[in-house]
Amino acid sequence: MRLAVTGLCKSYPGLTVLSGVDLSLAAGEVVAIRGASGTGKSTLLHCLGLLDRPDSGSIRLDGEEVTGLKPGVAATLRAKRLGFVFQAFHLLPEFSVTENVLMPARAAGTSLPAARARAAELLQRTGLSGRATASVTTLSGGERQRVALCRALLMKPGLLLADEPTGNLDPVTAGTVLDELVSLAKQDGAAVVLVTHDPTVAARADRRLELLGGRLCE
Amino acid sequence: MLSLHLGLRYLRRRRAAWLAFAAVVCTVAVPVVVMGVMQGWLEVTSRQTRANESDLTVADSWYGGSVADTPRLRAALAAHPQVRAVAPFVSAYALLESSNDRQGSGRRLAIPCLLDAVHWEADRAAGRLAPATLHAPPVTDLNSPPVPAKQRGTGFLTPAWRDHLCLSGLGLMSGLGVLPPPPRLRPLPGVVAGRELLYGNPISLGDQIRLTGVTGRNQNVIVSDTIGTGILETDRFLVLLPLDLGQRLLDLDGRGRHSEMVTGLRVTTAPGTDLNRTAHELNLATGETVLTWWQRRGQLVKSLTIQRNILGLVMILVQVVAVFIVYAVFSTLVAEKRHDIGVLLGLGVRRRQIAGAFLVAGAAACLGGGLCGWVLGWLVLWGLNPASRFFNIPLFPQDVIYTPEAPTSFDPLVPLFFIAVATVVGLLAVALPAWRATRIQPVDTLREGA
Repeated sequence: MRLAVTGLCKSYPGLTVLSGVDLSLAAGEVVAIRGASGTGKSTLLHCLGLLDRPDSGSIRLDGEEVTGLKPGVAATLRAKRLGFVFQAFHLLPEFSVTENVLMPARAAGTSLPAARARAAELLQRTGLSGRATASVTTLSGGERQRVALCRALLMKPGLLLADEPTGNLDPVTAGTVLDELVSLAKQDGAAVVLVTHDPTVAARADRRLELLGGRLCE
Repeated sequence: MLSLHLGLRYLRRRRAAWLAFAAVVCTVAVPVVVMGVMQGWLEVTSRQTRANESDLTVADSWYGGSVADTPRLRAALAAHPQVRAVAPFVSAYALLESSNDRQGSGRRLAIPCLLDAVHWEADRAAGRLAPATLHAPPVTDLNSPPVPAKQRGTGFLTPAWRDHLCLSGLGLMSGLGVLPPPPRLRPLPGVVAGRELLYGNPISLGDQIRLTGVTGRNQNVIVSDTIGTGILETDRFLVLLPLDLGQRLLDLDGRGRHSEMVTGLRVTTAPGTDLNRTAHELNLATGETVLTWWQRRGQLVKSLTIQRNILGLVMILVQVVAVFIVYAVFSTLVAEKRHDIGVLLGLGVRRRQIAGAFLVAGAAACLGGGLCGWVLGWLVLWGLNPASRFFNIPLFPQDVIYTPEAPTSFDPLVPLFFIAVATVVGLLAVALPAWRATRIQPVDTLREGA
């Protein structure tokens, strides 16, 4: 999926966070966005993930304008074409590993048998097939992030948005999870926007950008 | 599908949700028990009233009077396709006197009674005087033993009359013919007294009593049998006697200025007959007033129906109290799951699916709780009288409604109605928390979790 962002602006009362962000991303490309805390990395990611509305500017996915979509249409787009990985994992404690992974398929209303096969495949590739029926509350931090990664990739999204995906993990686990994230995304041909403040994480990306004063720069 | 999945999971895994479930169980079980007894009481009363009253009654007016019992009138009634049987009757208050003095007080018993003079066979044909109501043992005085069969009569047939008829039959069979009996040998007529009238007063089966009608005429009779209709007010005052005797006591027997008169004619109709319509048609055909059982004796059933409906309204109000519990539980649930809801919205779940999940959980709690309440209510209803007997605690003192046992009804419409009310009320209570859940902003919750 090609992503094209032009002139993206977002401000809160008394605070301008994004002031004309431009970004283009090719399918399968991994871009790391670095920046200090409070520079607007998460806000940019939320705008790209259609969770938040920019004040102005344009976001195009495969040439299709997606800013200003109705909430229901945006939700469908999120479920089918976008994937999210968060620092805090954000797994659902009432559900098992497989059920968490299947959640985007349920949200999109797609065929569950096919999604189950895909989930089993992803869990196999991330080494979690033995924990498929376990409750997510019994998993370690690394395992939880892998589950979150499987959930994000279930629907073969064109764009994967990762917000500090290794922020809560130790360096060794973080490296493993990051390797898996990049390799799985590239296998599926997904473009990846990786938000981090860690230079070692950013170093894994094809391209590194820095968010400074509300704008992205090389 | 996602709403069902989420809703049922939240309901199963959250302890607070079980509180809503328990509240619904209680607010369905309690009305099922209360209304089961009330409905049972209504059904018993209605059944007893119907057993003592014919479908239709041809009478001079709703309050009494008399009508001429003519072949033309009977033929007009019998010609109607819905009419199955016609039985004449005479009904009036009278004075009952007895010289029995069991306690030696020297006082002569004189009490009012309600005469119901009937043609025995015609009344039996019309469906009244069911065998189960005759020779009934007393209820209000449990210390009085039932009278053995050989000591009591059968209907109006006293033991003396039985012997008299037997002797006459033997005379006929021997070819001698019926010898004219000496005047004093002819037995007195028999009457059937209400069981509570008999056992509540110093009168026994076989005793001679005197009945004096409002005309001043009187007649000595023998108490030959008892009848228990199931309605205390009837069984305390009723005296059944032969039709011709009743006519004589009330000066309706055709002597003097009167033709053969009766208070009215009881009419039995085919099952499922539209009584109001048939009454109107018979009125047109005969020119006489024709009343339905509901018009004559429906007041008690009507008043009980009103009481039942008021009680049902109170029970609905009790169910409305459950609104607050269900609302509190689901508000707490939404607050607890705020973060998860944000995540789900972030994953692409639509807001209406989120609302649907809580509505499904609410509906499942109400329906599941309602069904459990139904089962619990019926179990309590089923065990009410055995438990009452076991602990020797009369639930309904017999001097109040004539039976020590609670009348119960297992009409499924009662629990179904209260489950429906609980479900509607529960869904209304869940609607606001569900709407609030859809207002959650995923960006806010995702930032909070970071």
